[in-house]
Order: sequence, then structure tokens, then C-alpha cells
Amino acid sequence: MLTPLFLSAGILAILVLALSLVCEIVFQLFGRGEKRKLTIVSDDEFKKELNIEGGERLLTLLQSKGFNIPAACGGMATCGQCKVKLHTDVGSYTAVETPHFDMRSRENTKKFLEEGIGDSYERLACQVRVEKDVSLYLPKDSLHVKKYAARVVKKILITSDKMEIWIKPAKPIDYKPGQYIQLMLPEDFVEEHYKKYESHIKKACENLGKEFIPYTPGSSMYRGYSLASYEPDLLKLIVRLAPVDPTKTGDRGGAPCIGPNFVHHYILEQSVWNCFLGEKIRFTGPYGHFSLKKEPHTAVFVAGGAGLAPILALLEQWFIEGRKDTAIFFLGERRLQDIPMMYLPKWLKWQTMNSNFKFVPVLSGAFRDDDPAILNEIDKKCFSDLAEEDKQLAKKQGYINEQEQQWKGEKGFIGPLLNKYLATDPDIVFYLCGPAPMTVTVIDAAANVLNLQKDNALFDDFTGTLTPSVDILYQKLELKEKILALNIPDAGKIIEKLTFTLVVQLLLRDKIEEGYNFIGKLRNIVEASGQKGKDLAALLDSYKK
Amino acid sequence: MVGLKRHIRKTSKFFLRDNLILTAGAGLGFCSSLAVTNKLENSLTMGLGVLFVTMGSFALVYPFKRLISTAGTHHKISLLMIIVSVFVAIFGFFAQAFVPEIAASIKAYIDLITTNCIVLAAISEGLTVDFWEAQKKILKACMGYAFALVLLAFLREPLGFGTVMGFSVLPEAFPRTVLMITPVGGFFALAGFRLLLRPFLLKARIVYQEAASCECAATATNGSNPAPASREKIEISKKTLITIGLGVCLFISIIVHIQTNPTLHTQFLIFLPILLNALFFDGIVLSKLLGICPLLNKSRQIDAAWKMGVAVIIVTTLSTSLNWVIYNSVLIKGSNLIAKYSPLSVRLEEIFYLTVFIVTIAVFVQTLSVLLRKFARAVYEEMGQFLELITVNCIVLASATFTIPTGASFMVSTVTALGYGLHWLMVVVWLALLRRQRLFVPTNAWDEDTIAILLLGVMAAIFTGIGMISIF
Repeated sequence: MLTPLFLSAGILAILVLALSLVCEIVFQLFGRGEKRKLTIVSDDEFKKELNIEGGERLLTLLQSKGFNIPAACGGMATCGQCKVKLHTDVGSYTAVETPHFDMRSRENTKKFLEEGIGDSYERLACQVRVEKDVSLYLPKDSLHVKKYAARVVKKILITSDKMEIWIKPAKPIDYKPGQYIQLMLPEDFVEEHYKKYESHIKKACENLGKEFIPYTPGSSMYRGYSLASYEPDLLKLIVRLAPVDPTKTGDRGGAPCIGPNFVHHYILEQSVWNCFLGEKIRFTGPYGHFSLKKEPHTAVFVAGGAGLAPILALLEQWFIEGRKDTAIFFLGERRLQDIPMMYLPKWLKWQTMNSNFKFVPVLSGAFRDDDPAILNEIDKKCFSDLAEEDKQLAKKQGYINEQEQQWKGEKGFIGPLLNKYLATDPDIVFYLCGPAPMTVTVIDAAANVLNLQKDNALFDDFTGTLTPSVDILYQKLELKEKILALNIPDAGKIIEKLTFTLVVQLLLRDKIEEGYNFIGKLRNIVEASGQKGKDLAALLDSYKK
Repeated sequence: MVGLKRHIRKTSKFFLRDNLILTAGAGLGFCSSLAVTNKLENSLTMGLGVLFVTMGSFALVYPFKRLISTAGTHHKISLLMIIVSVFVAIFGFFAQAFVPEIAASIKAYIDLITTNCIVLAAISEGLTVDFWEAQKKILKACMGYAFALVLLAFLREPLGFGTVMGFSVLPEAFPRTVLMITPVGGFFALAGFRLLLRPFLLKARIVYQEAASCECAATATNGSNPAPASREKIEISKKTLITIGLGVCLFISIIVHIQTNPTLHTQFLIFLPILLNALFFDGIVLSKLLGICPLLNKSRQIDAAWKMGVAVIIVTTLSTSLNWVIYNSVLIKGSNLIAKYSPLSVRLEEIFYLTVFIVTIAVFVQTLSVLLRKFARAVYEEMGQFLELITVNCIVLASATFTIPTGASFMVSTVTALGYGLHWLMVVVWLALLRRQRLFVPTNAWDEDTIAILLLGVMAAIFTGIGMISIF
């Protein structure tokens, strides 16, 4: 009975094995490639090097290494989904590939291959054979980044333009205070948003001088949010609802040029796809090295706008660990109404209980010539919503006058206030989070006034421009010493002007390249012989436009 | 309320967004969707089959993920194909047991689920993500496919037979459109569906309007226009002319004088009709409706079309002859051997022919490309990628399954396969030429594909007409 089954199985097995053997022998004899290196880079400083055998197709290589490259046709060059960005030149398109690329990417490719402009070009992964060391970029979705699911459990409007969102992850996640997560915006929402506001986004991109990237189906979008909480099973995010005017500069972080009020709409708008209570959202993370230093130090926390979130978490940690060192918390806001009244009592109480902690809210005014000292109706209303006990505390500590009509605390910007509250101290550490202009100017002031070391200025670089900006600032500081040593008349004024040009005209407009050029020119002038005073003036003039 | 609206949108998107047949920019899985949709019951069977095969074989493959990814490309395809073809065979038997009439009418296409573009792609993509996510993706692809099949059948069956699932729905007096149930009707129905559904889906925001970039115009202006360029270069010298003339004379004289050699003459009389039949009247694309996905895609560029066509000819001819040898010398002899030892007859060639065919093809193509890469680098650079593209391709498998199990002789199967290959080359080059002319000024790649399907339909109609003429 079983004989025929065994026999047939045997015959088949022998046949298939013989065929595979032929294939294997041929492959071993003739098909073996040389050892090659595959470098994969991605967002969030992801980098991975793989040792591979050359001669294989890129798609199969990547798929066998577990990268999720979509390919509906399975590598037949039919679907055109397996596009990858290559940093290495592996030749131009093959005949089957060309139809899958539009004019723009064809021109890009031509430029990259023939003139070497740009840093990458696109090919279909299924048509690239790895014959040399290849470096490529993969989008985040294709990496195996662990995604967490969470539900939105609470949304609280803490000021007129800031909202606290509580999300409850399905499993508690392990993170350090100060780290951030990347929230995944659902594809449906991104698409809907693009449909409604494409012209707005385009305009905003033009204003910012960025390239407009039209919506491409099948890609999700991520936006970075710092965690304001301390508990592993309930995460709090603070989201700033950017002004509706699309010409204003955008939110921090996220994909470039998605439009400024993007998240605003995601959270508030009455659309089918928005983030309502009970909504299941996904996020990756936690990321970032923005956390409290272990050794005892004098801490300066500087927060502004939505940058409050990680600072809140750090402060929480500071007091839970019971640190006794000096700590100063600068909170930069426009008016009283922008200070979250929900948290105010807690800060005031900390201040009364710890003599080493100082809370310094600094109001700048909403626009030029706006005096934040005189409280307007909204400010008053916000303040009067506080409990009586907290109001008394605020008055006693000298922030508000007795009639609740006037702001008695600090006004203006944080930078000039630093030497009022702090003395030069090598153990001082700055924790900064907030709008880029604030961060840059505060670091500049601290470096000038307090001799702040570069390693001791901690911040989260969401936009990728802060780190180089700070680098430029410190280079400028070095040159400043040299200029002062040159005995040029009015050196102080010239340096002030130089700093202004550098910070306001270049760094705050994300012109990092030009910033480096500026420093280079400055260095040339300082190091070369000749009429230095005149040269410096000429340099300043050239940037006046 | 918002929740409900959202769920409706999500569900419709699940079926229709990136639906490989109806909405995706680059379509896949056309072959069977055209051939079986003349009846709703066929469509349902086919959809179920694809779903069963893909999910089942993925569940079997997944535990051996590590093994498959380390085995290297040359074994990966064979391993996957063995498992897939076994599942196809199982499904075939189920279909024969439960719905024998349907199974009999679409047997060929059930076999060809093995090389359905969706199956292998979904499995190998699924291996990179975790199990349930992959099953979800597979479900999406296969359900979309089944959904498209059912939609097409709903159009074709009532118009053609006046029935739905065998129940008559149209009054007797209503004219029956026979066109709709012939293979040709498939092209028109599909193109019609794609054109008609598009505005509706766009309006319902289920599909996204791609950037209006005229692909073909881009190709034309881009200078990547190899056909006319190469035409200018060729200068026919006197020598070539004389050689061609002599060759033609030789060919004609052979044909005329072939009668003098009686054996050759009989061979000629047998094989010429077979070749012509495979080449024109019963072509693999225009009447059997196979190999359409690569056809649509590769016909966007003329040089790609030529090279792909030549690769198809080589692979179909050689692999079919190889398959004939293995089928007759291993499978049939093996079955006879088994029959000797046991009263229970197990016919290997009836159960496992698919597995053996597809494994042979995969091994053959892999080996050929490795050898080419080593020894004929120049040829490989020109043709190699096309060879590999057709490892798992319905044309190649079909030219084996349509000829060999019927008991055809070696020469007959080989000549038929050659005819099929030539037919494919012919159609793909014609289509490429037609698309180059930009007859309808399409706005994007998506519309262009639809137009190409329409063109194919017209070509199929013409060829059906030619087929009516009896020459022999």
C-alpha cells in the first residue's frame, strides 16, 4: 500500500534535488561574487553596514536581510514600487526601468551621474546588481523600527495655542525623561490634508525657500514630539497649534515642508481622519539624548512654546530625585496667557519649598511695542481662573501686582537676563528646548557672558539646523577673542554687528551654508594681514542687503 | 457617525486603492482576470483559488523564512515555486471534486495560478514583515484581485449569456452580445471598467490623481528614443544586400524543393501548420490571454520590447523541450515503475507535473543567467536582466502545460513553444510601436495602460478574424 507513495516521493525528491544540485554546482563554479559592503542610512541617524556577496540583485539582498521593500511584482520591473535612493553610482537606468521614472527624477539622475550634482539618485532595486560597495538611503517605513500602538485618552487645551495630549500605550514603554517620540500621522490624513491645502503648502514652501514635495501615496509621515511625562504607561505630549496663517514659519520637526498648520488640523479639525479621543495612533521611539546629567551641577532650564514638554519632564525628574543643586527655570513666552496656568501652581510651590530653585518667566510681548506688563482681558481671565491660594502665591512671589492688573516679573528676552541670575561657573549646564531663535540667542549669550562650554549646552535638534548653528556660534566666539586682540577701534561695536548679521540674517533663516561661508571670510580677514578694520566693515556691508 | 463613515472609506479603500487590476498604476494579474471572467462562477472559483494558494503557501513558507533567505536567489525561487505549485495542485483537486464543470472549463487557468504575478510577489514581500501583517497584505492583494474578477464577470456574464450565476436576469428579447464572452471581450470589458470607474473613484477620493506627467512625451523628448536612432545608423552595404538576397533565394528554393526529400516534406507538412497556428491563430496573448502583464509593461519602450521578446523566445523554446524530456523520461517512466510494484496506480505526471515544470524552468533560467554572466558578459549586459524577469512567467509555464501533458511529441511541443514565443515578440513589438505613436494623447501612465489594453483588444479582434479563414 505504502510502496507507491514512497516510490513516488522518492522519485520526485531525487528529481528536484538533482535539479537543485545542478543549479548549485553551476552557481558555485561560476556565479560566486566577491565580498562587498552595503551601507544603509536612514532618518534618525540610522546607519547599518552589511557584508554581502556581490552579483546579487539589490532587491533580493535587501529583502533577505529583512528590509521591507515593497515590490508587488516580485522583482519583474513591472510595478515600479521598489525605488531606492542610491548614494553610489551604479549605472544609469536599464531599458525596463525608464518608464517608471518621471521627468524630474530622470533629470536628477542625469545630473547626478554626469555632473555629480546632488547626493543621490533613484533606481529600481530589482534592477540593480551589486557589483561594488554601495551606499543607499531607505525610508523609515522599510526599516524594522518597532512601532508602538497607543490610544488618545485625553486632550486638554492648556493655553490658547498649546494642547496637552495624553496617550496610553498598549504596553508600558521604557524611556528617559527628555526623550522624544515620533508620532505617525495616518496616511489618509496626510492625503486629505494635501488635497485641501496643496496651494497653501506650496506657498509656504516657497516662502521658506524649501523644495515643495507633492504627496506621494503609500508613505506615512512622522513628527517628533517630546514627552512631558515621567510615567511609563501614560505619555503626555504638548502640541503647539501653529497659527492658521500659512506664511508663518512652521512647526518644529517632521518631514520638510508639509505645511505649518498640519498638526493643528490633525488635532482640531472636524475631519473624518483627525485625532479624536480613543483614536488609535502609532509611534516609534523613544529617541534622543536630551536628559539630565548624572553628576551634580548647576542646571539652567530654558523653555519656550511647545518646547516646554521635555523641560517639564526633566524638572519632574529633578525634584523626584531630590537634587539640591541650584536650578533656574527660564520660561520664555509672549504674554501671561501663554503660560500654562495648569502648571503654574506646581512651579510656584517648588520655588517656595526649595530655596535653590528659581522660576523666571520672561514675557516678550506678542508683537513689537506690545507691553506684556499691562495685562489684557484674556490675560486677566486666565489668571483669575487660578485657585485663590495660587493667586496669592503668585502675588507674594512678585509676578503679579495686588490689583491683578500688572505683570511684575521679567520682560524682554532671556539672553540679557542671564548674568542677573547667574555667575560664571564651570559646572553650569543649559537644557534648552524651544523655538530656534530663542535657543540660538540664549546659547550665544551664555557663551559670551557665562563662558558656557559647548558640551554643556544640551538641546534636541529636531530640524537638523541647530547643531551646525551652535557650531558656528562657537567658531565666532573664537574669532571674537582674536579680533579683540587686534586693537581695532570700536571692536566691541563691530563684533556686535557681526553677531547680529550672523544670527539674525543667516542662522535664524536656516542658511547654514552661508553661515559657514561667513565664518570662513571672517577668519580670512582676521588671519590675513592688511586693513582689518576696513575689511570687516566691507564684509558687514556686503551682508546689509 | 464619523466612525462609520471612516470604516466605509477604509473598507472601500482596502479593496480599491492599489487594486492591481482596476486602479494600480502598474497592473498585475491581468491574464487570468481576462480569461476566466466570462462567468461569475469561474471568477469566484479563481479568486478563491488565488486566495487559498497564496495564504496557504505563505503559512507553510513562513516558518522556513530563515532558510529561504539564506539559500540565495537561485534556490529561493525553486523552493517557493515547489510549495506554491503543490498548493495549486491541491486546489485543483478540490475544484475537480466539488465543482467539476467549472474546474473542467478553467483547468488551464487554475494551473497557471502558480505563475500568477500576485502569488509569488505577495509571498516574497510578506517574508520581510511579521506573519499577521503579511497575511493582511496578502488578503488585501488577493481580495482586490477577486473583487476585480467579480466586477468584470458582472459586466460580461449578463451581457453575454443574459445570466448571473446561471440564473437568467435579462429578458429573452434582450440582445446577447457574444463579443463579451469571447476572449476579445475581456480586453474591452477591462478597459471599459478601468475608464468608467476611474472618475467615480477619483470623485469618491478612493484613488489619488497622480501628477499629470505625460510619460510617453517624456520618453520622446528625452532622447531615449533608440528605435529611430538605430535606424539612421544602419547603412545597408552592397554585401549585405547580396547576402540577404542569396539567403531569400536559398530559403525559397528549400521550400520549393523540400518535396524532393520525402521525410523532410512530411515533417514540413506537419510542423508548418503547427507553427502558424501557434504564431497567428491560437496565439498565447491574443486568444489564450496570457503574458499580458509583462506585455503591457515592456511595450512602453521599443528596445525593451525587442529584447524581452527575444528572451521569451529563447526561454520558452528551450525550457519546453527540457520539460518534455523530463516529463517523458522521468515522470512517465517513474509512474510505470510504480505501477509495476503496486496495484494502486499513482500517476506522477498527473499530480506533480506543475511542480516539475516550474522547478525545471526556474533552475534552467537561473543556470543560464549564471553561465551567461560568467562567459558572455556582453550578451548578459544586453539580455541578462530580461532572462531573469521571465523566470516565473505564465508564458513559459503555459507553453509547457498546454503542450506536453496532451501527449504531443517532442518536436510538436518545441515548435509550438517557439510559435508562442514568436507570437509574444510580435505582439509586444507591435504594441510598442502603436504606443509610440501616441494615438490618444493620454495624460498619465495609468490612462496609457488602459489605452494599451484597448489596443490589445482591437488586435485580438483582428486576429480572431484571421483565425476564421481556413488556410489548410
